[in-house]
Amino acid sequence: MSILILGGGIAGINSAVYLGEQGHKVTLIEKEKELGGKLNNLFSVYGLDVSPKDFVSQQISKLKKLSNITVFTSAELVETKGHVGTFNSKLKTQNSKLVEIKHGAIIIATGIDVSTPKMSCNSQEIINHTRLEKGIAGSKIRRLSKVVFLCDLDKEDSQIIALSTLKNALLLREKLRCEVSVLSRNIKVAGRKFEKLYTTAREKGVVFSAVEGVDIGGLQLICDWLIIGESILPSHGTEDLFLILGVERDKQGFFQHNNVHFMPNLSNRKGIFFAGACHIDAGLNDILDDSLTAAYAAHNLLAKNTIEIDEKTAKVDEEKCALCLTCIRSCPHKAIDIEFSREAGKKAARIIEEACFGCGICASLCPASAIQLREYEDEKILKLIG
Amino acid sequence: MKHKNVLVVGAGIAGITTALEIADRGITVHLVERDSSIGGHVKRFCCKAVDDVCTKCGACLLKDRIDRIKIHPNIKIYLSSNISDISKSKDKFFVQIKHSNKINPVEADAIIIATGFTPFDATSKGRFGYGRIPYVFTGLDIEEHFKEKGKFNLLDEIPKRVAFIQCVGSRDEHLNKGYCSRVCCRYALRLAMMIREAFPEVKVDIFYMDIQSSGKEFNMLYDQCKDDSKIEFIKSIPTKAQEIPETKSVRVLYEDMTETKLVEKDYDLLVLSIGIMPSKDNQIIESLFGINTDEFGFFEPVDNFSTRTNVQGVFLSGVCEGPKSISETIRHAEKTAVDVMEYL
Repeated sequence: MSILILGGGIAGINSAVYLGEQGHKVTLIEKEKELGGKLNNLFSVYGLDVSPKDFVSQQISKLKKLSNITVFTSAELVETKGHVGTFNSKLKTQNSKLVEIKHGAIIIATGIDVSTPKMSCNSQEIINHTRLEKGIAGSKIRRLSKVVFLCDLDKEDSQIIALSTLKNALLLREKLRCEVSVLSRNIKVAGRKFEKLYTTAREKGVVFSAVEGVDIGGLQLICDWLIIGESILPSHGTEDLFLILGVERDKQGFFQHNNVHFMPNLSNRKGIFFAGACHIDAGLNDILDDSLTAAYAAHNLLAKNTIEIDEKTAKVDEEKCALCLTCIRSCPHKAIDIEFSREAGKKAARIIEEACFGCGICASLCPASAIQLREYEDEKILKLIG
Repeated sequence: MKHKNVLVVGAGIAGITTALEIADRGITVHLVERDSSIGGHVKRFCCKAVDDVCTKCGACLLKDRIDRIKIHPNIKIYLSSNISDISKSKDKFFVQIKHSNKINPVEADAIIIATGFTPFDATSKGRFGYGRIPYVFTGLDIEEHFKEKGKFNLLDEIPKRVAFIQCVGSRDEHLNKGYCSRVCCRYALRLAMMIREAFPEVKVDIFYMDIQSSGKEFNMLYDQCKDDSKIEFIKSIPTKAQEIPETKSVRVLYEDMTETKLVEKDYDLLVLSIGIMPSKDNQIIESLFGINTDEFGFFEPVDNFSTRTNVQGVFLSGVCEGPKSISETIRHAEKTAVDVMEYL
């Protein structure tokens, strides 16, 4: 079966390689000109022995060796119809060419965007972590003698930025012997061996100070570089995908709904999975695990070539259906459409059973009581309660 | 493909998740559990919804899995059992599973270690008076109480002042626990909000080093706590707790970091947010299997991005590899299943 993967960052690539190795036909689309995403811009990642760029290249070369994977760069998803097993999508690829593909599942691995909080400080250069990573690779950095990391500015830093702070503070201290201070509300060490990184940094002479609510205007810091953490935002295009695919987002706009039973990778629609930073805030380690589990979930769904239908799906009495569309509007899983019913001789709502979760919302809202849940029909329940 | 067998050691949420994923692919799984029932620690955790809104602790994710595993045709569960001996020839393991005095020999092509953790023993931190003072509880005690008896009747009287002490048995070089347990901040804040919900008049103080606000859900929870005027965060770890029998309260001594002076405060209830320790079985497993452990006693994977160990065919799943929350454990356990399937 074939699978569409949205996003050619490390999460998308990792999912694609796994699925490709399992023999699935994979289409991977990336909106930028090249694959690799955010890792391409990083100098180093804690826990990774090779450079992030080399790591990505290794994965990309694995991807390219697999003949069942098609990659479209500078491409985006325009439209998706259908449901689990029979999705039908239109992609806009290079030169605005439209490509139509059929696929059984979708993995969303669109990652994140970052934005730097706006602030001004007259004495020194303010840079963010993205620029810092580029700077470490460059030559300008040799002249540094004093660097300050400013963390948790308006809100708590994300896991990625917190880890980047610890790693780069140690790196600057060790490689350049410059004075490094870290000002933060909370030192975040929740992860395998992060505490070790923190204590090593302290031993090597990085100065950590606890601050509560930094007022930038009144701040006098003498340093060459002031490094501030970016805030993490849903990737540009999340809104569009939400409209095209009807997948829910949380309060901050990231993918995946609050339902814990969807953890780790499921969405509110069957056959659509999330992978990587588009739905979790985590370091590379967890992103790799997560993209693999998403791919595994997609593989489990499609490997059998058949989709098992839940016993408790909803059913429509077409005779009673008045085509009011209440069910279509209320279904959180996009599992209802309108079809001509031969038995009733008219158009009526139709439950797409393979996409139905059996939640019962349509059954409870239908004004004509035309929808019932299998196993929970009115008659049965009435009998039970006498 | 020849029919394969896999042995999973430990039937907590990690072992159960990995076992299910592997068994779904037609492989026979032998699941060994020391206790008389499956479910591990998660079974003891309460639902931490606040005002009926889910806070995504994940404690409810166990039940479906238990229901599924009990009827799974490919999974054989050995309760109240230990592994008494193991040998390896070529790529096959020969394992002896001991149940009371009976020994079941089992062949396995791969072994998954999912032995989880042991909660930190709060009595070994005597200065907080756990076990001596009746108003001092651990986070786990509170969870169990909430699960069994609901949020009320925690004490004879309604508590007015409650304190949480974070990092009890975590990030403590004196105890050779130089690591963060990753979950205590999360459960403590959730429990704090539940206590606030149950007793609207109560004031909660949280003594902490650094709030480990990782994960996007948690940040929202943290903001919610900070907005609550009756929850106060105090960046300091108290030095001792002492019982005041006359007022049925516990007096906590700590250093106020902003004014650098010693402060005493009385509380009706003191909760110790105990951390995660390597399972006490890890040493036995280590000597049986010969897997490397790190300096704290957690098992060490071959590299940071793998669940494989130094012994070929032995994999790690869940908290035995390092502290994790329930959802992180599930993710890790599924990743283990993928690695095992690749190996087989």
